[in-house]
Amino acid sequence: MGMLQQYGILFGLIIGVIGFVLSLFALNRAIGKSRIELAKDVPATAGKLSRDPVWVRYHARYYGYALLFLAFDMEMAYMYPWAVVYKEVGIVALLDMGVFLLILFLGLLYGWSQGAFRRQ
Amino acid sequence: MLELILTTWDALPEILQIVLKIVVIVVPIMLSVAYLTLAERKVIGYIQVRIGPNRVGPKGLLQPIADGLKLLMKEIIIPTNSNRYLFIAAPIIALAPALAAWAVIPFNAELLLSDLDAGLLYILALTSFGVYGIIIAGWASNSKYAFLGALRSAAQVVSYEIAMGFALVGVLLAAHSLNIRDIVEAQAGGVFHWFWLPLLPLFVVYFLAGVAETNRAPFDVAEGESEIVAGFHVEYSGMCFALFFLAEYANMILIAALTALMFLGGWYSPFPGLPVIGEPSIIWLFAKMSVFLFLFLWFRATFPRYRYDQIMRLGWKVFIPVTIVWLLVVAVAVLAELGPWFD
Amino acid sequence: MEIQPILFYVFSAILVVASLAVITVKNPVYAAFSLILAFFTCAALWILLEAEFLALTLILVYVGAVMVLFLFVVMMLDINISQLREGFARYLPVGLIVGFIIFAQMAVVLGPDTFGLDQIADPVKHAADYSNTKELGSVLYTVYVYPFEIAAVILLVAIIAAIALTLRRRPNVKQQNIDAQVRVTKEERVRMVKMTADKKDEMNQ
Repeated sequence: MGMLQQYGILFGLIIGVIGFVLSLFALNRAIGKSRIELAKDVPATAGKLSRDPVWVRYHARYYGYALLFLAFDMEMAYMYPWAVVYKEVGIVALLDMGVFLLILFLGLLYGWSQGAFRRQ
Repeated sequence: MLELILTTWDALPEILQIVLKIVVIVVPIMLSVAYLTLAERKVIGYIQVRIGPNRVGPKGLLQPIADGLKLLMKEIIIPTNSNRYLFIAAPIIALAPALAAWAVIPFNAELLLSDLDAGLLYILALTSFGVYGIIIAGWASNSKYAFLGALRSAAQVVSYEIAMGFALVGVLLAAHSLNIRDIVEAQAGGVFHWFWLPLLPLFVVYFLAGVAETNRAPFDVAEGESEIVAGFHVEYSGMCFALFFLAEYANMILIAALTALMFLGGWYSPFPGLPVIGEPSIIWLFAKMSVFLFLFLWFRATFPRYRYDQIMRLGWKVFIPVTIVWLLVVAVAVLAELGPWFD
Repeated sequence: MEIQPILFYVFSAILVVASLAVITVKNPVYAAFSLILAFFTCAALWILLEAEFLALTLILVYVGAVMVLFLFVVMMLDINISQLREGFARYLPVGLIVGFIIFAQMAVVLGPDTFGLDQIADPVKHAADYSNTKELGSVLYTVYVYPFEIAAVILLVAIIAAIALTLRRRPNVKQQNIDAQVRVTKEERVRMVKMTADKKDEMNQ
């Protein structure tokens, strides 16, 4: 089987899962009952609607984690082909990745020294 | 009899074979998820000196079916001012990657749906997509608890994904392939040929990061019943809630399977050379998966919940440095052709 | 007819529609989701080219990381959309000029003179066991070492920027020193005080 067929199967599987879920929803519609009740659909905030809008600004630290994650994720993406060819390329690959990690380690050191990973 | 089945199998058109394979893989996963919930309640019950569910069917064996039917009949309540389309789409987005990842999991050398060359990368790409289910659910609900839970969960999942990804680099170093079947075959042999020994820190980090990725106790601040009610899925009811549950348990089984395949030699027997029990078999894979699934349940019954900053500290300050250092150790060991694993 | 060209046109159409949606829909969250869809179809197109590793990395990095970041920002913003639309007419000419320049540049660089079929041959079809990742790795860490290390420096800048941007220093925050907490001994916390015992009836007075 070629590569495209392989990915075709995966695509089919995802479509199949979505179809399965939609059929569950349809089944739910068919056998479930809906009652009209007062305030049934109020979110779980002690029985009344929240006074302020929910979609407001939160602490910026989440944003910081996302940015850091992005940098490390990129680094990870570089390491996968490296690990696969490592044995063939040999010591050169080790040195390459050593320098790469060393440069990034400086970033981690900076973060540590600034207390970026501490609770605030 | 067996030959008859095989010849009829070969006579089927290819598309039908694929559909049958999908059914053969997805239906048992659904059943395992159902019975994993029962196992969880039973195991935690006995750990807490209770009996657990024992009313529905013999020894409570029909309990998951009853739960499933109940959830199927309940109404899906959509909260006021929420975003209805995204609200309904979120559980589907959570479930689809959890099930689609199974396509590249080999159960033995022959039984697998799709033999992708970059299978491991495919799984990583899909699991990284799973976080959207949580973010969308939290955002679409128009509820503060849900939104807070989603933010916490997203930051946590994202942090542990790094540790997990780095741990997998170690496996790749040892096996020189992204194909999961090749990775298992690189571990052919007894207990001491498997990768858990040379990659021990990575093995531990991978499994614990997997527990954190699935938002299971003790890393369950995303749900945190006692602080933010139930986190991102507080507004979900009926079938939608059940879908989040399905996704969580399917992910647990997936993590157990991946750990067994990549560190514990998958379908290889720990006693090669002995008759019958020395044969590589799918049963060994299931046995190894069950051990990890039991660990998931045991953790939940034993450990109190981590605080949010403790989770972040563990992920960024312990797991990531440990994996990076150990990767260098493994890299040197591979160059030195340390035996029986890297020769 | 072969299935590949059909797939190509279907995915390309979805990609174009999704990209247009990114810049036209009102709700910024929907715009972010359209961008995710655009990345997915782009990955599908790359898979048609058998660039498997790049396609999966696109999903891993862009969908799994970049868009999470975007969503964090977009969901937490309390944007007044009508306010945003006010400047539309004013900035339109500038936008059109910039857009036209970019389009012209791309037409020159990516036109048929440099990327036509007579310049670059059809990609070769590979067997199922062909490893795209291996091919990439075998040149990335030998021939292209220098750009690879430059990438590390760029990532370093990104990490430092991320930390510097979001770090908020508050002077009098009480912090837990967990190492000290773990290392604590009985002697530091408990003081045994010798006292003479009082008689019961004396206490009751």
